Amino acid sequence: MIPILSAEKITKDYGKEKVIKGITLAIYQETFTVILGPSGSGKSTLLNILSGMVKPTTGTVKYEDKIITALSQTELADWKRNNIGYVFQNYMLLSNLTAEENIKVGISSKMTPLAFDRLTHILEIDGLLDKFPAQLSGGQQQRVAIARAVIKGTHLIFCDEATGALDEENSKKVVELLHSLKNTFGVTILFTTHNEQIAHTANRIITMKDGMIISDEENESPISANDMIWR
Amino acid sequence: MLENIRLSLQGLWSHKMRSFLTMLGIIIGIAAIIAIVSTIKGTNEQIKENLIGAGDNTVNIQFYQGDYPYEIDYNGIPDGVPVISEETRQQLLDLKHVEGASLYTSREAYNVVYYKNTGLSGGRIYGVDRNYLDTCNYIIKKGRGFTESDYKKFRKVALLDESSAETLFQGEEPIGKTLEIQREPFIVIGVIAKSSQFEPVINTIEEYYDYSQNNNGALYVPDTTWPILYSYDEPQSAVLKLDSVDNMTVAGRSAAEILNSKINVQDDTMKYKADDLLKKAEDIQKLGQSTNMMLIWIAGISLLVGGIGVMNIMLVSVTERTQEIGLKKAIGARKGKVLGQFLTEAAVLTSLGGLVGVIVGIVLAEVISRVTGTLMAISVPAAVLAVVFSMFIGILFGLLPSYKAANLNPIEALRHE
Ligand SMILES: Nc1ncnc2c1ncn2[C@@H]1O[C@H](COP(=O)(O)OP(=O)(O)OP(=O)(O)O)[C@@H](O)[C@H]1O
Ligand SMILES: [Mg+2]
Repeated sequence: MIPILSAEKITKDYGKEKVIKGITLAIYQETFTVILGPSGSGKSTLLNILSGMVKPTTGTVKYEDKIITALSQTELADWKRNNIGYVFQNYMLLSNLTAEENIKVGISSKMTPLAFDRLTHILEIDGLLDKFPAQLSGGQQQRVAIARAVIKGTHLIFCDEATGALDEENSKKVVELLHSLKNTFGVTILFTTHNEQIAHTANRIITMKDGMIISDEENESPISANDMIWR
Repeated sequence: MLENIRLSLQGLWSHKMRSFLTMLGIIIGIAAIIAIVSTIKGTNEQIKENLIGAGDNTVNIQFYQGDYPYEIDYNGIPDGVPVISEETRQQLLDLKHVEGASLYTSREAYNVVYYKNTGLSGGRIYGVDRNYLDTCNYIIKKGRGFTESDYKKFRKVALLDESSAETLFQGEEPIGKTLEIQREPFIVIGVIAKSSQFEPVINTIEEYYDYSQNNNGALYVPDTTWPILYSYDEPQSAVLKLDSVDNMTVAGRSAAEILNSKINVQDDTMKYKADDLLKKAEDIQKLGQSTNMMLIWIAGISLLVGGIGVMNIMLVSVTERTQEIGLKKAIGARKGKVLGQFLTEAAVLTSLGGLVGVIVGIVLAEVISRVTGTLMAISVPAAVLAVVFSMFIGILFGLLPSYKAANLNPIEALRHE
């Protein structure tokens, strides 16, 4: 099997601080991978490097067989638009657009997006489409944001602390929905969190500490999102 | 692009007050310029109309000595200036744009014309050829005009204009009455007037000197009777009727050239000259121009200030929308697209300001025109140029903020609260 995404000896320095200290890894298609680790361990930085948001100090990142760390700014923008979706901890919806407009904001005319009705139905936001972000709860906003990330029909979704601002019920729902999107549309999900319960639902758990991967294991028996025990 | 414009309008609408205040500088600047330009254009057209008269496409070619028409009364018949022949008149008639050509002689009527004890002081007496009334657009108000036999038989008949009829007869019926011209009895056969009456609009004493036509009365006799009055045939002046006011200058010059080719005088300041009203109009128009330029400069400064206001508000907008820009870049918007969106917004903002400015300017010009009584004329090219120029200001002053937005780092922008 060829990986959809692979990183080769990446490091990242912010001034003298070494935030990522040499990471090599490969992510495979249609998996749900959790990157686990304490605050400041470099999870977000790693995710940003893998998604082309931040350039590594050294090392390369490949998407299928395209070296994205070698792309020009414009090529990188095009690659992001056509190949990845992003879900942020604080949703990042545009406040002057409705839910529907927010979902469609990333679609360009050249894409063949997923069926809008089906997607919004799965995410249970089909009744909220003409509302503005300020009129939605956090969980609803995050589900709109997920729809925005997935609608383009891209194969790779990055989620940085996607449940970080949500309560137990909404967190469970989001995790559950991400799993069902993976199964329905065949997407690959990379999810950073410091919540071990979420890690238990994943196919693969990568644990980071001080800018390094300290363990990387397959999860032979993932639990269902509903069985997560919140502390 | 259309989508960008729609988004910009939406954005501007959601900050109505701020957008309006930002546009205010542009609005004031453009309005001032449009008002000034409309008033200048109106004034210029007024000047032209005052001088030339509405619809009167005639140009006079007179014999000059230096800067003034040669006065036969004082200087006698000039040597080397022949009487203009019918052949020459035909030559004038053949000139381009010329629709009619007539010859006439003229002297001051002071102490020359009397009815009973009333004299015509300050007026002029004209000896006119058969084409004169037609060429100069005269119509018969009363009585009749000259006939062929009046000319052939040297009949001592005269036509008056309304002003001389009034001066001489003071309400009495003039037709059939006998006048005394140079001690010769002439019978008044008619009263004539210009077919289109035109009163110049005069607001100041200067304008009076510029425009008031010598309207102290005129009296016309057949040119064949001229030697009865003054013993000799005299060199004439010519008057041309043209197809359009705009051809006055060129046709007048060619006609003067033809006439000058027939003369042979020592003093080279003595020659035929066309009274070039178009040029005179331009000269008067130029007098006001330096003031106008200054006003336009002031309006320009207002536009500059307006532009800086736009830049400032766009910078605020970039800061305010850092998250939005970050998000768009994170999901793969190209730099050029972000740049385009902000530039469009700036351009839409200022174009809108320009458009409102044009409207306000026109209204302002209209008000000025009503209050001062001067004419105003809307210049369509100026209005279009004003809007285009405002758009350009938007793009110019929007460049820096847009560039700043396009270069935002998406991750840092997203972290921005
Ligand atoms: N732009 C930046 N400039 C300087 N230092 C940075 C920058 N971004 C991250 N860092 C540093 O890199 C380290 C890792 O940060 P990162 O955000 O990747 O941690 P994290 O694992 O995502 O933490 P958390 O769980 O709190 O989100 C931190 O020490 C942080 O201060
Ligand atoms: Mg983080």
